[in-house]
Amino acid sequence: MKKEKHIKPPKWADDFLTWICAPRYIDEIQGDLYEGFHRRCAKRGPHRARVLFVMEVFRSISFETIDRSLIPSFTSKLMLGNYLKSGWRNFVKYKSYSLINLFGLSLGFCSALLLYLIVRYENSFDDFHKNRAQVYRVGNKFSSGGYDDRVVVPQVPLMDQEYVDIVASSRFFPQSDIMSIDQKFVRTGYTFVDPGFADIFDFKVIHGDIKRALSAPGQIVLTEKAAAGLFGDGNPMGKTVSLINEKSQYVVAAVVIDPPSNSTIQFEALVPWSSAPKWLEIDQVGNWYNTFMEAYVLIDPRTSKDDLEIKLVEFVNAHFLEDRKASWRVLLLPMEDEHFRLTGNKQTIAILAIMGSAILLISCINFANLSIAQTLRRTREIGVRRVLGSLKQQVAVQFVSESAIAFALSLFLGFSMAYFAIPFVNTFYDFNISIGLSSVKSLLFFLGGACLLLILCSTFGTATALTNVKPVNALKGIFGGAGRGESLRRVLLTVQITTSVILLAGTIVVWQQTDYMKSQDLKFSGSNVVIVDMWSELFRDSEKARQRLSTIRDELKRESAIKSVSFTSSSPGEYNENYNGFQPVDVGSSDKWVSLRQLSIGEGYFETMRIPLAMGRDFSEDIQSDSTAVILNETAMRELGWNDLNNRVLLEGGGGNVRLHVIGVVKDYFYQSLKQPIQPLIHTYSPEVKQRLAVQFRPGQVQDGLKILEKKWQQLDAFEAFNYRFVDKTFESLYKEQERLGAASSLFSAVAIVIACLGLLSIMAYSIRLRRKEVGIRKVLGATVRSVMFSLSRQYVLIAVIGFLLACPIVYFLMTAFLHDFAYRITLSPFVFIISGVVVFMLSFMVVCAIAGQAASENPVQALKEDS
Amino acid sequence: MNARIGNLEESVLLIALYLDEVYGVSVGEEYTLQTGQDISIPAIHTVLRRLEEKGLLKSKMGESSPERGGRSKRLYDATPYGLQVARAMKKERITMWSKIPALKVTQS
Repeated sequence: MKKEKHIKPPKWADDFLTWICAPRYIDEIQGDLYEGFHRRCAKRGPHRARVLFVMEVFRSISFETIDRSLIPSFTSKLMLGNYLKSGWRNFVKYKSYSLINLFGLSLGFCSALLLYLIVRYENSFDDFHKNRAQVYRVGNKFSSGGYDDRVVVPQVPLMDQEYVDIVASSRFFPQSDIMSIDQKFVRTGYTFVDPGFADIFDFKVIHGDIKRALSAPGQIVLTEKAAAGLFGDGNPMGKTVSLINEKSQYVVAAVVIDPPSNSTIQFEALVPWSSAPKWLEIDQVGNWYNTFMEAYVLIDPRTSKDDLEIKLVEFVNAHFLEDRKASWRVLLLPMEDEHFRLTGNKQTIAILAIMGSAILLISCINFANLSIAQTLRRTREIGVRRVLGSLKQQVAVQFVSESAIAFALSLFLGFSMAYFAIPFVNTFYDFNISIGLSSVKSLLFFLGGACLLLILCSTFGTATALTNVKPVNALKGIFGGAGRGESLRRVLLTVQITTSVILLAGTIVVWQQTDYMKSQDLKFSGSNVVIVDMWSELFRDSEKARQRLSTIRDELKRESAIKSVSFTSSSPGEYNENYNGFQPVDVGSSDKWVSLRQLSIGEGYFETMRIPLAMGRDFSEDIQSDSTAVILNETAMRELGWNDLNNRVLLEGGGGNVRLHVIGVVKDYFYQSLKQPIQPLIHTYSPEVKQRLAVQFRPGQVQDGLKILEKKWQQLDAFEAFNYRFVDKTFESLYKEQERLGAASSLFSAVAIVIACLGLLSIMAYSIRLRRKEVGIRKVLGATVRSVMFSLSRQYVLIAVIGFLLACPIVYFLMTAFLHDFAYRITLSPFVFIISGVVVFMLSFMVVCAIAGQAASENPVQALKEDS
Repeated sequence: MNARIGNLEESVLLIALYLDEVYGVSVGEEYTLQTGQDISIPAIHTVLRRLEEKGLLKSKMGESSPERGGRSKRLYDATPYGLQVARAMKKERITMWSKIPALKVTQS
């Protein structure tokens, strides 16, 4: 008990209360809080009581309890009017500086805000799934290094059965078909999923129960868009939809919202796995070989990913194929990283985030810099105010509120600019950002941060300036504080230059990398080559169309505008991961299995894509035995340890005893994004492959060729109009993500540099104005324009050099980290540093020279006459 | 006829009517005792001040104690108008209760 008497509430909070509270209320509030504190000490312990005391002190502060004498200037309406007036006069007097300041800050706000929204959008992917942290995509990790995000068909359902740690699981297998209802035909994608899909993911349900819908065969879940496409405004629930090609019918059992644009998982309709075709069943032969399935699991929150992965080693040993047991491990890929894993732009997003902060920093520095400068310029006004009886605080309040008004104005301008820029940003960069009600909370956070930073900067600047001004000196026109403000400004300028160089260099690297990937020799040629979808479900009478297709191909071959035609299941840039294990039939190495990506093609594929053969021959329709022939790429040959074609035979995993003869080897060509190295690939031949038609036109005859193609298409009686795409464009679209971020970052780094130059411009202009007299005297004493310019610009040139030197190591570090992720990447060349350094240096040098030159060539008499 | 007051205001007014020494701490503790809910002292202060403004309470400065760091208490007391408002409120409630059919009451 005795001890408790000595316990006191936190002194700082108590002092604060004594300071801020009006005398009328102090007895009641402080007394009651003390009493409450002591009682709580006894009841809940001193620690808790202290915390509560501090909270209550702050809660006690309200408009009526604050000591009014602390804020004299706010209460004096008369002076407020005067402040506004002198602030406005000052603004008008130095119009250009003030406008530069205002415009620079608005531009800074606008860019920072847009970048913030972009970064937030990219980070918001899949965050609407309640259990996102426990959702994983299942893949495989290989002991040779590397991993894959696909699994065999039976793996995940079995894992779910055997491991209690897995709460729910679902495979995800997208298909496409023509759906019809009442003579209406719509091409719609649909996806086979397990009932666990409803537990793992949270797509908002509009009608029905998605879980129940996925539990029984013969039912279908439509998205709003798919439902609208099929039924218009009518109610789709309980209606029957026919799939033309599948020849099956489904009852609509639920309708969900369209997956939002920030969802990795996209679908148009969901069909329960129990309705899946027979070849997808888990007991099918070959299903432990063929690795092409996308699958997700939801794991128990009490277990961790690493623990489960270790437990799953047992699973691999129990179920996986003999040859995979030692070298394969189950891999869980967190859903939280899925978007970044797929797009590979985590670094770019980080760069954009840094860029946003840098722009905000640069514009705040500008603003603070100019505030200091403006305050110094107005020393006389300060002097007069002080002599006439203003308190130091009052003057401070005047200047701080002036910058607060300017700040609020540019904030408003910046917001309006961003608001109008958003639609353009969205269409141009293919984002989906908005300033909506939902983002208000984080916006406030963003704003609060910006406000705080700025107010701190400008208050600090003003205060530094003020403490250096003695009223008497100020009245005499002596700038006592100029020196001190100057050094701070120099530091801030250096930071600006450094940041600009970093941003510029970063942008150059991002562009170079994208360009490098685009300009890589892809080892095939997609120019003048178009792909036309020929899926059998596209045609009203698919049997007849299939038969027609071969004839059409032969007719096309005879056209003079067309150089080469081929059927294929896929094309470079559209390749869907699909691989299988193959066993080489060699003497002595019968245990070796190699997994190869597989691609089924028709005759003439290599010719159409201009992929050269390294060895052997191409497939031919005239050779009967080619139905079991295969062609490998060079990487696959290396993997197998082969270097000739002497009776090379492969056995396909799950393919029975069919011996596949290797009849040729093609040079390595890129069929997937350059983010990863070329994978071993096997081409199988089938005259039945007719999913896509690849056509190479003769140069200059593309338009004629397309017309011929369209005419042929019309003979096929398809549901849809003629559609084609160029292979090279498709391949380039693999870098769309990369490119749009590169475009965004170059735009914003340009903005940053403009803002930095504006800052340099106004600071230079201002400080040279201060030295007008000096320049005048120098010139009168015989200095040349050149030497004056030199003496004026020397320090700024030095600042630019220092800024550049500081930036170099930072750029090197950041860019090495960025490039690390690409399999085919540029080497960081000194060119990047030189170019960005030179650009920033030249820009600032131009600004400096222009202003110094102007000052130096002025008539000295004018300057000397002026009496300040 | 009289000022509309909120729920918390009503509770504080009632407490002020029966408590001997009415000030921030004592009202807060009584409130917690009666409702089981914690309340901060500044919140009570705000309510007391508002009730005084509306003329339902009046206040005077009381004595000080070492526990309060030598600060004196502001003691509140209900005005006749305050009592009148409280009575009117009670009547209002009773009237409304009397209109609820017995069946509904037993159901819940």
